[in-house]
Amino acid sequence: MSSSDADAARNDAQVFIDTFQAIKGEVSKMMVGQEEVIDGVLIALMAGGHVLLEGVPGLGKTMLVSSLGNALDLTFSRIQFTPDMMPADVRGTSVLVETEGGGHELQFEEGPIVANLVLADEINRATPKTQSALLEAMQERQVTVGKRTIKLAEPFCVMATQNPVEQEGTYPLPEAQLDRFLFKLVVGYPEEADYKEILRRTTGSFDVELKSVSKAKAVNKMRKIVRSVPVPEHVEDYAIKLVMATQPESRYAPRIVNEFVALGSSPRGAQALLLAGKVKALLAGRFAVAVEDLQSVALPVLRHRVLINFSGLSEGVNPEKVVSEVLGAVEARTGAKA
Amino acid sequence: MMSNTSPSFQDGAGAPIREDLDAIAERSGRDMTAAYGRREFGRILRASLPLVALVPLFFLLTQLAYWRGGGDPRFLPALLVAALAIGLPLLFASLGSREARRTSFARSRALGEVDRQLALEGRLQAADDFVHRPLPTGFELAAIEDAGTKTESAKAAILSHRPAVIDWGRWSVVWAAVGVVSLLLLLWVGTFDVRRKFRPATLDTQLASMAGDVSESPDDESSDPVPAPELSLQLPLDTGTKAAQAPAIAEQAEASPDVSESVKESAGKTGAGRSSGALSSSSGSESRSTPSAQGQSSDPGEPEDKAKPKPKKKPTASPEDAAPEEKPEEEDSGSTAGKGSSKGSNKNPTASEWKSRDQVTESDDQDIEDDEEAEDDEESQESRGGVQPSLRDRRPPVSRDLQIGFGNRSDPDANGRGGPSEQKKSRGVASLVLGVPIPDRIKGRPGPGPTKITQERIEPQAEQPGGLEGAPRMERSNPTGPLSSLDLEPDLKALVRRYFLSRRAKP
Repeated sequence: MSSSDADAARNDAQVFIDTFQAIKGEVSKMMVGQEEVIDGVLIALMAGGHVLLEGVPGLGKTMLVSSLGNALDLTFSRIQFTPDMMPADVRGTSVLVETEGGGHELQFEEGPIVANLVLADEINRATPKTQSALLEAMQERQVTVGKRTIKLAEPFCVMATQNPVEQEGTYPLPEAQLDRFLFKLVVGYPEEADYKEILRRTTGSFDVELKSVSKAKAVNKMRKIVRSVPVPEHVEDYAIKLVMATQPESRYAPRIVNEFVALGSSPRGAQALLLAGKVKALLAGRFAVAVEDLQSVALPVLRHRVLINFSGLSEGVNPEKVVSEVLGAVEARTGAKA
Repeated sequence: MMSNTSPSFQDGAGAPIREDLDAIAERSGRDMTAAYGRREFGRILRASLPLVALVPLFFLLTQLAYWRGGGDPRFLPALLVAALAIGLPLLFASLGSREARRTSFARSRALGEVDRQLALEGRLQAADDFVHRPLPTGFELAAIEDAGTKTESAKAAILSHRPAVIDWGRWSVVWAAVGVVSLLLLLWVGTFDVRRKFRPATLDTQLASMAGDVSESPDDESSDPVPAPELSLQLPLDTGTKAAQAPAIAEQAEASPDVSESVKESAGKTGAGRSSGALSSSSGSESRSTPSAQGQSSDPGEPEDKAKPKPKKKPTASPEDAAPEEKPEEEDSGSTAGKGSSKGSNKNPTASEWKSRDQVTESDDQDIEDDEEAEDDEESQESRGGVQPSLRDRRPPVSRDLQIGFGNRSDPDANGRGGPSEQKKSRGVASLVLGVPIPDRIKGRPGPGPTKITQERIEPQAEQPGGLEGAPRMERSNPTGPLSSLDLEPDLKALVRRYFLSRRAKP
């Protein structure tokens, strides 16, 4: 045990906080309001996860992601998902090119997935076949085309957007795809006070220019710092109980889960809870994850991992309500007699 | 923000932090145990609060039952019961609280409670966890040091543990109020001498009522020797020593007039009632014979039905009283007689429509009379050999006319066989279906009855056969003469001609 280690940890934590705030400040130049959404996107980025942004059109989802790409100085690519898009359009394919000698050869052309920040816009408009092209990239951080495997450069983050309305002609994301997103953030309407600033910035004569405040290397370092945050045992237990409480017929499941939930969270949910909780703990100035950190990230982590059954849909039960009930139930049990 | 001024955590320097955490955990656990014990005391007290009301009520009820059974009420231990009613819930609550105080809380939970109350966000819990790890990382050390800055404030803080607020609820108030009332009632009953105040008065009234019954009972006993009044005479002799039998005696004394009344009713039914019934039946037969003698088609059963209740309601009614009641019947019979219908004319097969209808209405009400006549018919049939059909109903043949029924009503003569009826019954069809039994239309006989067989016994007699002797065939003595040509058809003639020509043509 060394005090220098503790000092180094404190320094790392301080660097993390400073970088995080700098990135957030730069993104906030473009995004007015939406503090929680910006925090959520940055937390997911620092935790090494992917984000699914859901909101009605015109709320700045695409602009948020593109602003983040500019602020981080990362390679950024945007994929506009359409119904006629094919997996090769995402991963890349071999094209016939003419050589110098006049011959022709097949040359692999990387798809837009090979980037640090990938904006999958309107991801639910592509067919499941095309959507599944993202599965390997999001989980394994690599793309396999034929016999060629391409390791994706870190940091790699997919930020997908989808529109909760206009469901006609769309393909809801399968559970395997949803589970790979660390967060599902719901972008709501801005506050009344934010409207003036939005109008002033977007309808005025001056353009907002974002400068790069961080590099890919800095982001990777921040990710390592996040990974080094310790988790006390009781917090691990709490994360496990939270995830198990979303699973029907488990010993921690409240009544609403047993009655209205068809599918609960997977162990990926517990991983996401702890990773996001670590970022939250660092941002809160602590060196260990607390129960409060898990509670604060439980909703974006678990809301897309809870599948409501038909009975729940008919009763108007939504995942947010289920997660809220789960938090209350598990919180009550943590106070049980030892 | 991060606290850069943290205590050193090198070479056992974490020992003070560990001791601080131990002290904090111990104190918090102790406080939580005490709070949990208090909570359990209140919870069990709330659960056992109904005993405050139930114990006195139970005691009062048992004493009341004992008093009504003839025993001496024992109100002396009222204070003891009151003490028991109050003491039992307290005893239970104390036992539960003492048991709860033995429960020890986990160290992490005790520290977590401190974290929660001081808003430390799990710092003490995390530090306590990291302290016990063999090789803490830099972040774990930082977390321990971070918690070290909070231990002093945690030790100095006064924590208030409130495990869970007990919801006493409205029922607790109700039980408490009932308990207080019960205790007051118990003490009031125990204070006053209830036996002197209530017992003599009730006993005297019962004895007085029994004495009155005894004075009246000999008259009843003379009419019918029922054993109940005897009991009423014997029991008061024992009541001087046994007060428990007083209510029973009073009940029996009250029940004795009923018994005598029942005896009176039974005696009246056996004698007078039977004779009155005979009178009514005879009068009914007289009233029935009156319209038949007049030859009217009015219902003969009605006077019988109306005449029967009259002697029961007014057995001593004078003939003048009965005359106005018979007057409407005479008017009804007069109205039918004015249409010319009579019972004798109904037997005519060519009776008019009105007559047949009247007869049908009569036959519906003549079931009793028909039953008597059916036996006579059967006897007459047996005497005639049983071959005659039953004619006991004496109904005319069904009218075959196709007139529509009387007004909008259905034809009362309609039996489905013919005439203007609603639905026709098929005749003879059922006999074509195998297994369909054909019911016999003769009432009272399941089968056609015995059939008289007239058969003569003829003994066989031998006959002598006539003698014929055979002879050889002789030549014809006379010529047969010209044969008459067969009158064949031209085709046959041609066929025969061709046949013989072909025979001749052959060699």
